[in-house]
This record gives sequence, C-alpha cells and structure tokens, in this order.
Amino acid sequence: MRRLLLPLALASLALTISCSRLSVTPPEGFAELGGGRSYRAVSPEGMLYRVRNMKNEPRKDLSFWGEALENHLHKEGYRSSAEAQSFESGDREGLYYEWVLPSGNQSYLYLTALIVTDRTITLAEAAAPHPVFTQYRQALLDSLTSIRPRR
Amino acid sequence: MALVRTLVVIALLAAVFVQPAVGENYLYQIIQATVLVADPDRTADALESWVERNGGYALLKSSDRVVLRLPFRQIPQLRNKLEELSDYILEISPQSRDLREAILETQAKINSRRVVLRQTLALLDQADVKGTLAIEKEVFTLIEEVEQLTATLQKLTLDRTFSRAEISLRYLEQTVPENIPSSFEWINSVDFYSFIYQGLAQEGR
Repeated sequence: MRRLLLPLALASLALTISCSRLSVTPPEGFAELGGGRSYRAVSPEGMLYRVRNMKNEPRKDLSFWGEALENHLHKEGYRSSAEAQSFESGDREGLYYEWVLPSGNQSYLYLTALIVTDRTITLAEAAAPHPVFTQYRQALLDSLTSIRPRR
Repeated sequence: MALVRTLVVIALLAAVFVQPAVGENYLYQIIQATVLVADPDRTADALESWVERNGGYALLKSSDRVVLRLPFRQIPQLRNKLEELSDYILEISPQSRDLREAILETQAKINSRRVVLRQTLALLDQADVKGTLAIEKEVFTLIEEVEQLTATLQKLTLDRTFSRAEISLRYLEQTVPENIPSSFEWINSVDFYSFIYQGLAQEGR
C-alpha cells in the first residue's frame, strides 16, 4: 500500500503544479471556479470554460497538434463550423476550432483552442447551446488571448 | 414589290429599335431558400457581407432568417454562395414576375394624367371664381395621382433592378459522434459530451 502512496502523492503534486502554471483572465460575465486541476469559469447560463495544461509528448509544434486534433474530431464525426482560426496569446500563437454538435434537441457550439510550447500543450474548451455561445464568443476569444504560463 | 421591300426594311429597323437594351431586365426575381447551416449567425453575417460587396443590401438579418436585395445579375452567384456557406440546401424556389406590362401601364397613366393636368391648367385663365376652385380641386387630384403613380413606377424600377432573396437558416442536425480512440493520449480527453455533462462533476463538484 505504501508503495502506491508515493507515486500517487507525486502525481497529485505534479497536477497541482501544472494547474498553478496557468494564468487566465475569465471571459467577461463568467465566474471563476476555484480548486480542481484546471482553470474553470462558468457563465450565468451554465456555459463552462475550461483551460488545462498537458505534457507536449511526443514533443511537436502547434500545427502538428492542431492537425492531429482536427483530424481526430473529424474522424469521430464532429462538424466544424469554420476553418481553424489563429490567435495570439502574449508571444505565443494559438489555434482555435469551433464545432457544431447536437445535444438533446439543441445545437451546441464547442470551442477547442490550443497553445503549444516546447513542454506544454494548453487546451481551452468551452461549450454552450448556439445562442448562448454566440453571446459570449467575443468574451471567450478575449480570454484565450489572456492565457499565460504563470511564472 | 418596292413597297413590300420598304415595309420589310421598316419592320426590321423598328424591331431593332424597339428591342430593349442588352442586359435590361423586366423580371422581378424572388428566391426563397431554406438551408442547413452549422452556425446561422455566422452564415447571416457572411451573406450580408457578400451582398454588400456585390452592390446589394440586407433588408433583414436575424439568427434564423435573412432577406436580401441584390442586383438581378447576382442571382446565379447567390445559389453558388448558398452552396458554399451551407451544409445542405433543403429547398430553393425561384419565382419571377414580368414587370413590363405594369411598367408600361404606369408610364401611360402618368403621361395621360400629365396631359390632362396641362389642359386643366390652361383652362384657369378663362375660368371665373367658381370655375377656378373646381379646376384647383381637379389639379390637386391629378397631382396626387401623378405622385402615387410615380412612386409605383419607382418601386417597379427598384424591383427590376434588385431581386429579393429570402433565406431561412436552420441549425444543422447531425448524428452524435462516435468515440474513436486516438494514438495520442491527451486527444482522448477531448470530448464534447464528457465536457458538458461532467465538466463540473469531474472536478469534484
């Protein structure tokens, strides 16, 4: 049992460090949620916005991971609502995609955004029914440009 | 024989001069379409920008409907644009109305009223007080009619210059994506349904 505890403790410590390495300005009108392994914020309508870091393994660049994510989601049947768009987050370049998906009897828009550095892939996600999403689209894009590694 | 030849030449010349100028349009074209799109707002914006770039304008723009007025020459391009912007064209029904008769009729009415107006005004000099009042009343009526007919003619001219497109935008309905594993571990964690249903719960909330 003790043998298991050490790796678990190290893993949770690594996750905490990973989380603390993100600095994000919440989209306007969103409330930040504390705790957890990722940065999260929620709108009054319940639209969730999440940003998390993952290891860049195998170490590849933004265009590779953008293409990999896009291909995979297309293969799964996700339908993109527009071409990938680039954005600047400080001195780092990012890509974001918007997908249209059905849930219940509504169409949802699902945003996936990537920022890639040598060591980290930062993934931002947001989803909401179409009218809610469009209401917050600009606020989300503004927030994406605010994502920074915390020093 | 010479007389017949002269008549034929006159008929041919008349045909040449009576023909409308090349590119002149007398049809009021209306396109009604319903398209399936992934993002109705974005499609509405794209259609508005496109029509403005091509000399038209948007009469109405909402999340589910766009009404455009566009130069009649752009009608074939509109169909291409709809194919480009939508995932599927559910329905497209072009209609057209020939305005030639209405235009000629309105022009004739305007001309005849102007003639009557001139003749009525010419009577003013010879009229007594009672007659002048009657003529004034008649003149006002004629002016009002000419104004209304002129407005009708302007509307007809607008309709033959700008076609109308009424486009209903519907959200794209599609099947739920399958869950296919990726060779890259982190990509497997990108899932819309997990995100919306467990986005809060998985963090222990």
